[in-house]
Amino acid sequence: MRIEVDKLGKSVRLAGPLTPNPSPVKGRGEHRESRTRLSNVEESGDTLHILADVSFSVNPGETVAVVGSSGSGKSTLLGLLAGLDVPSTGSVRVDGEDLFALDEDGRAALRGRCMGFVFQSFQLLPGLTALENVMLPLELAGLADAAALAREHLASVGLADRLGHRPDQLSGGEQQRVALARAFAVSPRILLADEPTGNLDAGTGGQIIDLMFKLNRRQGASLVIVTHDPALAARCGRQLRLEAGRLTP
Amino acid sequence: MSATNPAWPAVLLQRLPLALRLLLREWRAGEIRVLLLAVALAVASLTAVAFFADRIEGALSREANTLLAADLVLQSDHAIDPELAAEARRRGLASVDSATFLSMALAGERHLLSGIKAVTPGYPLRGALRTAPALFAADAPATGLPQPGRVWVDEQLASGLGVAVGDRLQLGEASFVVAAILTFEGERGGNFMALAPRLLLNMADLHATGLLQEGSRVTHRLLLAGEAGALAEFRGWLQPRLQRGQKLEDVRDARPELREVLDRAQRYLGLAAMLTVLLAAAAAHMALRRYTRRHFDQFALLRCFGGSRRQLLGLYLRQLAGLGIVAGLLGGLLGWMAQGLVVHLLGDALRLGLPPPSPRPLLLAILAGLSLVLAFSLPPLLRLARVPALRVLRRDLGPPGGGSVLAHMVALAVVGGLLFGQAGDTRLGLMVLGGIVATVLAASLVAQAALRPLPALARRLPAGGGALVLGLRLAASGIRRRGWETTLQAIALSLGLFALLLLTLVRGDLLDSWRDRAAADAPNRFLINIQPDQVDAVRDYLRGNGVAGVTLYPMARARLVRIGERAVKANDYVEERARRLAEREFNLSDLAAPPPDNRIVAGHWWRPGEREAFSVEEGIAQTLGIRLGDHLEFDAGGLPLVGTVTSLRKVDWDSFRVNFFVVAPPGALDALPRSHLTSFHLPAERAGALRGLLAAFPNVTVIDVSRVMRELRGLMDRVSMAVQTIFLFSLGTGVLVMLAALYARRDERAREIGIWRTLGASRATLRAALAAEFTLLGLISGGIAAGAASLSAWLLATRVFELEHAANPGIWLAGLGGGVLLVLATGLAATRGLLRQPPLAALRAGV
Repeated sequence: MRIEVDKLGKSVRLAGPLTPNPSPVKGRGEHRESRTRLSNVEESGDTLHILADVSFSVNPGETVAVVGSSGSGKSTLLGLLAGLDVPSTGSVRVDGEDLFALDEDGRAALRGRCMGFVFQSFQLLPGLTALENVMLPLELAGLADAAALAREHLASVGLADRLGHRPDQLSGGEQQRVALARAFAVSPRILLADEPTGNLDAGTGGQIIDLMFKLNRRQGASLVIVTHDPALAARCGRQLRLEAGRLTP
Repeated sequence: MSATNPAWPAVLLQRLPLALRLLLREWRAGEIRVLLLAVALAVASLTAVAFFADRIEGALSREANTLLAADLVLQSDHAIDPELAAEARRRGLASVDSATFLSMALAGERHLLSGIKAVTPGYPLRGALRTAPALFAADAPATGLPQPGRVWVDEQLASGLGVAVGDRLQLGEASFVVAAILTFEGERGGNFMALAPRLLLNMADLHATGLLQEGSRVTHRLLLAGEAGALAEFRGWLQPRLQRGQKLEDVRDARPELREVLDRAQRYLGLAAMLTVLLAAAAAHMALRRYTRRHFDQFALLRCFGGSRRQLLGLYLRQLAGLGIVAGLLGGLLGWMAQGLVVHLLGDALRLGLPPPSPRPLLLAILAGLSLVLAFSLPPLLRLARVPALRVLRRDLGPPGGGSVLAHMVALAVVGGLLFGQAGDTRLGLMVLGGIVATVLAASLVAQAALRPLPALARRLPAGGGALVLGLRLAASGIRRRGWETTLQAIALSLGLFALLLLTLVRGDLLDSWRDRAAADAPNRFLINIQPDQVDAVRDYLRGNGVAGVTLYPMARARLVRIGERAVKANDYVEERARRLAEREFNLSDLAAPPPDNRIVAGHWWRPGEREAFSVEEGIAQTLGIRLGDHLEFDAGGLPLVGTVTSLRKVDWDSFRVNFFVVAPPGALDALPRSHLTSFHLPAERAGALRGLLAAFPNVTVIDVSRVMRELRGLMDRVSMAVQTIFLFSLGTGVLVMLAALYARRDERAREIGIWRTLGASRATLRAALAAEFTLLGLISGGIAAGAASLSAWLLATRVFELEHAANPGIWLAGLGGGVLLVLATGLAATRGLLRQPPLAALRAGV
């Protein structure tokens, strides 16, 4: 699946103090992060440019790493690629289809059809077992054999004996493996990963990377990974570097 | 993999199992237990109140009907068409006839004007008569009726005529044997002052007396009893067929003193049910807010996986509908069991033969559960639907503020509907709704105002300090940070406490009024026909027998002939009661001071020396069209009595004390033929004293209302018990609301506590912080609730229950103290586990 990103930009208008996040900022940690991020983006007048003029493309089966320091706009770019957020300027085409010509539900349907996700914080639902977490997107898509498929994918990440465990009964590495099984279970044509090793130690992170690339080779999906881990970036076919919201050569 | 877009019904079928599967998983994960429990308990309270109120009301009506001897009575001044009784029987109703009239009973040389009642077999349809084998002997429930040729007479008639059981007396052209002394006749309780001594005979003998002539003043009654539905239908059928001189009465019409008791009890049950709905709604609301907040992540993730808003909203709605049905069923069952248990526990104490519970409340419970869950889930679900999918990358993103006005309106409409449905009284509904709105507004304003200066106050606390000072600082900053959420909690807690305090206050007023009315020392004997020259001797006799402080009221009988320039004629009035009053003689008295239980509602009581004035009871004044300042003329056996209406009085007719429609200044009756009367309390062990009284003053008539009083007191005791029980149910729901309100923020609190613990705060500090926060919350909520409840109780007492309401300063103590205690206890209980949890677990689990 081919992704074409053309002159993508994301900016927010400032009203009063620097609060790029329109929703209430809840904890102190997040607040500080927001400020850090602000130091790395452009500001012109009352508009804050989080991403500006970003253009690139990803070919089918290609693996691309988006690297950059904290607050450079990596996660914002990933959110835009997934259609989770809307850009201020520019476009994203997935197999020629303009992502932002679709409404939100249209973009959700496109995600359901061809995208898989891996997150830094795993995003497993705490009340569900490993098997149920993997089944969730399959059930949502209306697949009758969701349980069998989920079992199969959990086995492929080495968790065949942990099906009935809830996330809090699994280690960080195991949780991320469940997340990988969930991402690949829907047979995505694009896999978007946000700092997949960010919450793991180096050893476990390495294993997860190996596993992710192995599964991806098997499925032949395009892979876009946001990371500031040089080792992970080095495994990708191409690296895109973001600085203050702009791609640098 | 490919997305499908099947037709809507197919989607419904396809998605329903997923919704149920998710629901089951959530249940297992413990996600929905709080919500299910909150809704189920709320529905249980609602159902228990509904079930219990339904049964109690049925039982109380039936109980009260024993004092009418029937469920429904057709009263007529002419013979009743037998076709009506036949129609009633066709509709499955039981019926008996009675005829009552005044006539002279004779025994030897003695004769006495008596109230004759002839009845057909089966009388009374409700309750039982009681008879004794001899005068002043122990009595027992009577079986059957006097056989033909025999009569039962009451104590008054037996004493008056000097007859004993076995003696003969003459009634019209027939002679009868006195077969028993009639000691209790429930139907007679009400207007006993107008009743002459009683003689009961079999209807089969009536013709033989020859007393029923054309034009005789006989009151015919058709007494009916049966199923409520059949009665209502028959009533509907009969009402348009009523002829002139006929009226239909149930216990409420026929026995005003009982009507008040029943109406108030019914209103209280309505109030309790309404407030339970309110509490149930508050509990459901708090629990649903927590439920949806805990689903922000899930929603964002499902959006990320390709779920459309509509699809996901439908998924959640179906889950919640399933939950509503399950909670409704569970709650209904619990409610049914709870009311059964209470009935069992109260057992003899309640002494009411409760009719079996009908299945209707169970169906209503499921509907109530479903509508509560769905209505209250709409606003938070619509908020949930606005959670951006981007939350999967940025967890700090929540739904934008504000909410759907329409969704909130729907929720309010459902609560309003349930409230009014339960109240069964528009005025009551409106007042409680007003109280609720006032409480919510006051709670938001006061909570916001009280929370604002907190951080500044906390900063003034001495530096350093121990765990307490640090705890206070933490509490202040926590409350301030969660500003709106704290306000919401304060609103929910205020509503819970408001409901409890209001029910307590109104219950107190009700019980007080009933206690006064049915006091054990309330008058139970009346003496009438005391001649003016006997007044002192009778008073001395009573004093000698331990009855002191008795007031003997002078009384004359007179007919109202003129109001202003207008001559009073029965035909000028449309209302049946007004026509009767216009024709009959009134009992008048002359008094220096208004009798106890009388309240001047217009004008003034006479000043010393004031002459030619009248004080008129406000009810009769309204019926006859008498206004303050009107000139009235009475005719007392040819002698005129004139005066101006200088005051209108409210009279407590059910106080069992002597009362008069019209009172004149002292001395006004001196020129008229008059007698005296009095009422007093005679303890049962001194009942024999009356024999001596009757022997010494043979013209004096004694009326014994002690058994009627006992019956009434028993009824009130039972109503009180029912009211107390219903109150307990509401109390349980109130505590549930508090738990739900405090539980609602448990996740955030867990995370906060985890952070503070990580940063080195001791458990003692955190406990102090929590205690300070809950104390403040309890004070605010308790204060608001006490204020709102005092105001509402006053309004309800004076406008709905028509009770004397004494301001109760204790309610502030109960509100503030109870608020602090309840919130502190439930709050600490709800957060107890959090302090023991390792900080890391709390941080991981936090939302």
